[in-house]
Amino acid sequence: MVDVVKTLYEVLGGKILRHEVIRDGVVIDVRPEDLVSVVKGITEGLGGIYTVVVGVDGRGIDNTYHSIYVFSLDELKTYVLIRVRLSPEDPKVESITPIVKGANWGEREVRDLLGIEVLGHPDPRTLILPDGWPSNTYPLRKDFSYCERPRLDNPGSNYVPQRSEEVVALPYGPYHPLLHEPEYFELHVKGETVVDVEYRGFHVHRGIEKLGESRLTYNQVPFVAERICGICGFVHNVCYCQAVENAAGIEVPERALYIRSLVLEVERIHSHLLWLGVACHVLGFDTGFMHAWRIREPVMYLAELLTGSRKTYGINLVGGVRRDVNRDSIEKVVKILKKVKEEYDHFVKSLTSVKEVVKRLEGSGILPKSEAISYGVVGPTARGSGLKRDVRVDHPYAAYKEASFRVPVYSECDNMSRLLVRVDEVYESISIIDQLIDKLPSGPIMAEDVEVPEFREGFSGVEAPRGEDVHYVITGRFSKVYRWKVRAPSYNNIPALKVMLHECPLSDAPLTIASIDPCFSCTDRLVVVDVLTGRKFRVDLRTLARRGKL
Amino acid sequence: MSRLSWIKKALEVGVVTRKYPFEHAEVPEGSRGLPEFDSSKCIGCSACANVCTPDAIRVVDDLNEGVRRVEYFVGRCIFCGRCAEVCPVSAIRITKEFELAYKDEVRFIIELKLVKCSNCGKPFTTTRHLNHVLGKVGEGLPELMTLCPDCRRKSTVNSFITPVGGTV
Amino acid sequence: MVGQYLSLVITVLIVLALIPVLDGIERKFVRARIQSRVGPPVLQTYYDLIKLFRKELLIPSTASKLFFIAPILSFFTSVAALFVIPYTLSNPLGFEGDLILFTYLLIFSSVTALLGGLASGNPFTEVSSSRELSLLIASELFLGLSIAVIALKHSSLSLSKIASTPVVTPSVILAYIALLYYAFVKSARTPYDIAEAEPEIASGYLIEYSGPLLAFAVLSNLVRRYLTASFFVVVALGPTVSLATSPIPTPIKELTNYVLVLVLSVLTYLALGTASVVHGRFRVIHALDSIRKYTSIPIIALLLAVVGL
Repeated sequence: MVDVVKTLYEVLGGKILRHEVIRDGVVIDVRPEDLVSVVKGITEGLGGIYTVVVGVDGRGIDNTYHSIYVFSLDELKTYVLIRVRLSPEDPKVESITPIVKGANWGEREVRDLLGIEVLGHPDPRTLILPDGWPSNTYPLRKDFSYCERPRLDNPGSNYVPQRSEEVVALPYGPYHPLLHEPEYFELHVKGETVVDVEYRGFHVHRGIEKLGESRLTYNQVPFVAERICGICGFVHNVCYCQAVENAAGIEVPERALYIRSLVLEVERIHSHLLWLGVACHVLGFDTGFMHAWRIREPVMYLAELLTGSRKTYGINLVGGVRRDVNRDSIEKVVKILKKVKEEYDHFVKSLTSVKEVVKRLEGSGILPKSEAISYGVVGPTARGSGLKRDVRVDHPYAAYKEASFRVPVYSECDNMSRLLVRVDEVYESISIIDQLIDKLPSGPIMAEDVEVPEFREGFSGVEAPRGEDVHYVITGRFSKVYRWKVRAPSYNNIPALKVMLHECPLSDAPLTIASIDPCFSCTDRLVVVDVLTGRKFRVDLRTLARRGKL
Repeated sequence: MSRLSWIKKALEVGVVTRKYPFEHAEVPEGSRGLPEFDSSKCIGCSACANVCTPDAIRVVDDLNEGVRRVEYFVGRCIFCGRCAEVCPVSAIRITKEFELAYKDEVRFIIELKLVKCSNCGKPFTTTRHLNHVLGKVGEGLPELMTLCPDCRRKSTVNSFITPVGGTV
Repeated sequence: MVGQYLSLVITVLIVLALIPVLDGIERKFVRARIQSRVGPPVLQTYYDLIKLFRKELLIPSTASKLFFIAPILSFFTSVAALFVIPYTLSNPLGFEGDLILFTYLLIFSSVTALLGGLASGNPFTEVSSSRELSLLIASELFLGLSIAVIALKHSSLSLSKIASTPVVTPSVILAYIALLYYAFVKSARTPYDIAEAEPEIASGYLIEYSGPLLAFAVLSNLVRRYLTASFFVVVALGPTVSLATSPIPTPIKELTNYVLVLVLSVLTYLALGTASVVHGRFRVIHALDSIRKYTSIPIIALLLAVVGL
């Protein structure tokens, strides 16, 4: 860490007001006017890759708003958190989106939810809040009560889908057979070629962060965190616990770390198999779809055996895990995984025989490496564009230091590369599980003294099947968290779709969208917007029920 | 490999899906399902309600009837099993039962008699809870046990003060 | 004569009643089996159709009259084509030139289905119809060439005549293979279901259909699937199974022919279904490329036929 701090001072010099080393990262305080040049220094000078923007209503701590820009220094194996403190009356900060494309959404989110004005941002539209949301009402500010439900004025919008003779606007969503979650892509299609894409998401913003900050105690949050995603929920669970543990300086027993890694890898296998199935389905190859899911089923059984539940494992608490593994279940894990590997091997080999599927994967949905860096894409999307990024290696957590594994990287930048990355990762995950089981140490599974002091910062990353998932936590009083920020992998990957879909044949668009394995519920975390008709409004449950009957 | 390998594989593995609702589905040992409440053991301490993330378990005091109700609503339950973990008298057991769709809001309700404060008459906890605590502390301060937390505090303070002067 | 008509009507009704069952068999014993699933009941397609017929009729405000008429027209045209197929050696409706009538009805049925979708005004149907049209143009050329060869070698445009005269030359055999491939393309199963392509364009031209109209659209699609398979059987295998040259008495000959044509049609239908299950969907350009590539077969056949082989 000393090296990291030294390097930071070498590059940034006197712009650092103060630094603080935390677990997994370094927090540096800078003046708001220096922000852009500091970010330039981090990205250009140190190869930092954009991770997330966190806004904090810190008026309860030091009477300022904080805006924290997190970059991952993969080579130095650390995160840099650049913090600017802003005036409590009129928080304003310069935008970094012109130099870091990926920060587009992050900055808009901070503006929407905390009212921090972002000067010079290229996109003035709201990202998360629906149209008609009252002005000067910011849901993540501490003076906005959890129970408050503002009335939306002006529930209409002047949104009209573009139409012309040549360009057809195809609505993909909010409900579309391809995407089984509510989000909206508008593909502008000329003949069979996509010329432009509009995206609108956040239809199902659930306010989980607000819920965690206001109503839950810190040991209840993991169960809510797990429900951010229905496929890779456990990563959020682990990531949150790690962030709190990092903040509070809790040492988690080794056996608990192994169990976390074990379950995370089981989750990765099931998630990748699920994705392979969906990819086959999107390509019209339902036989592959069914067989991928057939192979996946024993993995689900494994998860249930290890944790007590097929999904939403719920075995994590701050300080360790709740459920131990026994010899019996470990034997079963080894046996079942061996069979899964055989079946999977056969599946992958058979898939190559389906020529039309292979042909459609190759050369479609190109995301060049330079764009991948600028958008800060993560996970298989990054690794399919030749970026060697994997949180398990770059910022080791849980028991990943104890296992040796390869990080598959492909540099063709197309859908095929992204598929191959996932295909290889399943093999690696099986190998990781085997290694961890061999080394599984005995001992307690929960830290003895779990004390969470107030106003400490914690940051943590976990490699989800879709990429890097990060959580930022400031601990609070009365065993609650003061600020909990979640950034799911798809949040960074979806904006890059604009690049991938450009000039792509329409028939490849669904696959390309699917190729980042988008998880919209993760991304949306956060009011009903009916975009198809252009009307955006909130519907209460009773109206919805009445409509359902019509 | 050729395309035929798909057909060959399918013939080899046979049919793997099941006619589920007509055929029983087996879940592994230790799978977390419906929590079972043992009303004979419950002492109404609210520990389960405190850890319950989705508020599936609620503890409501009915002052008119002088009872405490522990309510469980399966529709909100996330089956995390935290309630069973924290129950001091092991009154909650996690079963493997997972077929839980009902027509009505099914609630498990346990009613427990409340104890009135011997001083102010305000109900403050259940008889069972009191006995449970009594069993833990052994003999000691039985006269304080029948007081509500407020009166207890006052009484304790009084016990310090009485030797010097009159009551507070 | 009346008896002949009556038996034809009965046959067509039987075939029509069996087509949804045939689809059920494909779903249960071909598709589900290869996908290791239990699959739906054999009568599932019937249940689906009955449910659809019971549902209310919904017509989008942007749709024109054609939207309403098209699926019904498409269905009845395909049923009309069922009458033209020679189930026995002599079809009372047969005439010199019914081959042309059959192809006309077949193409008319698929074009009307498409136009109906297009009349809904949904943007997805625009994409779908442009896909289907390019597929149609490519595949009809294919069909046209094959028919030309067969007609040339049989020196006849009568289906019954073709179905009962064995002609075995290289050109005709190539034409038969081409017809089988045409049946595969025309069945609108994967890999050639690009006009429907559920994950891409949300069922394309069918997107706005619901209720009875959807039932007609689905049914006419199934009938066309059977038609193309049966057309291949009648033309390519008909001469063999007709036992035209054998000395068996005519009534028995007629009966075996009748049964064999039906059984072989069903088998061809299911075989094409099986092939479809192990295919993914083509990208539009690949679909057209593949048809273009295989067009060489009927072209070679035609060249051979011209030189007298």
